[in-house]
Amino acid sequence: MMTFVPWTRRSPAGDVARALAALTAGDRQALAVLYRSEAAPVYRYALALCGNAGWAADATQEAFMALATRPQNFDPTRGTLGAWLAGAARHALAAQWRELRHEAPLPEADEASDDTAEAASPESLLVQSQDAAAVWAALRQLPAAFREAVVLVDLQERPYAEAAAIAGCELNTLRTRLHRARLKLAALLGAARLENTP
Amino acid sequence: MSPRTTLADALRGVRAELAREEPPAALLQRLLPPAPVAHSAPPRPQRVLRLAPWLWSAGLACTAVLVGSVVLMLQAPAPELQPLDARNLRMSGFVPLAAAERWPDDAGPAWLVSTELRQDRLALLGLPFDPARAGDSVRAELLVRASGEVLAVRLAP
Repeated sequence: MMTFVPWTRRSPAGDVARALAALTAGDRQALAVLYRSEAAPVYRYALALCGNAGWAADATQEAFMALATRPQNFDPTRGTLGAWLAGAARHALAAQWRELRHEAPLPEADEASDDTAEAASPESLLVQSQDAAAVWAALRQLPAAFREAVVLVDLQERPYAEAAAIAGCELNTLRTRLHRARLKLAALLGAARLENTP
Repeated sequence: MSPRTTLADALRGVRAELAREEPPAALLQRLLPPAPVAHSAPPRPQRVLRLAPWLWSAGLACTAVLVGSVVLMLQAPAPELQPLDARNLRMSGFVPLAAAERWPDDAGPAWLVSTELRQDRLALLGLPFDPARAGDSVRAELLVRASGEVLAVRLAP
């Protein structure tokens, strides 16, 4: 008796899983599939943290090199590949900061307590760019751990659990950092009123 | 920052701006090993094509016309293209709004957009303006990426 097997479209997640398997088997070219799927969010995370395109590119490269040389280190039962790569980029950035001594490195453990559309008209584009520049400047003034919380949750809209895994902290710690970061941001930006964050 | 902008609105704008960032195009090439060189089979001997003499003459004439056209094109002066960077724009009267590291070479062209701005907006850009005429408009030109990011501004004559 013939059995009808419905054709199903290949899912991006399936492509990533197959590419991971190929990479683990030694096919280095499979890295291209993983790169196209995961590189942009990792780069954006690193760029938002450090504000330097060159450092962000280096951190992204380090993350994918770590995956290429030791793909068996990624355990899919412990989180997504994107979160693993972001964590690897985070380590690369922290190492670079320790080396350059430009900023305080990202803490591996809890930090000490701290004190706080429209139509795209040309003028609205200009207003948006100025507002965005003010926000970026305020983000740079936040402690690294606070800035990371805002980047992961508010800017990249990652789930809280994934953000906590990338930041290497407990979920409640991430929530606390995020709350303090938002208060401090609002104070820095001199917003007219505080609103509940999205 | 605009007083009416809430924190949520401000973060939304920054989120959209961050979402437009892409890693450098050359990064993937640095990660991949060089592709193996394909070993091709030796070329097979080809038959000599026999054409009528008049076809050979026509072919030579067409080739001469083509070569002459290419020579004329190469002799024409090439337009001088200035790289899109903050220094060149300052020399054209533009005030850069984006930081230098946000001017990647491979980010594509920028578009010149004419608009009118309120006078008080000029102060936020570091340009002089008459406070008595804060509500009046001035003509300006914005340099805008296809993504909507404003790179620079200058007053139009």
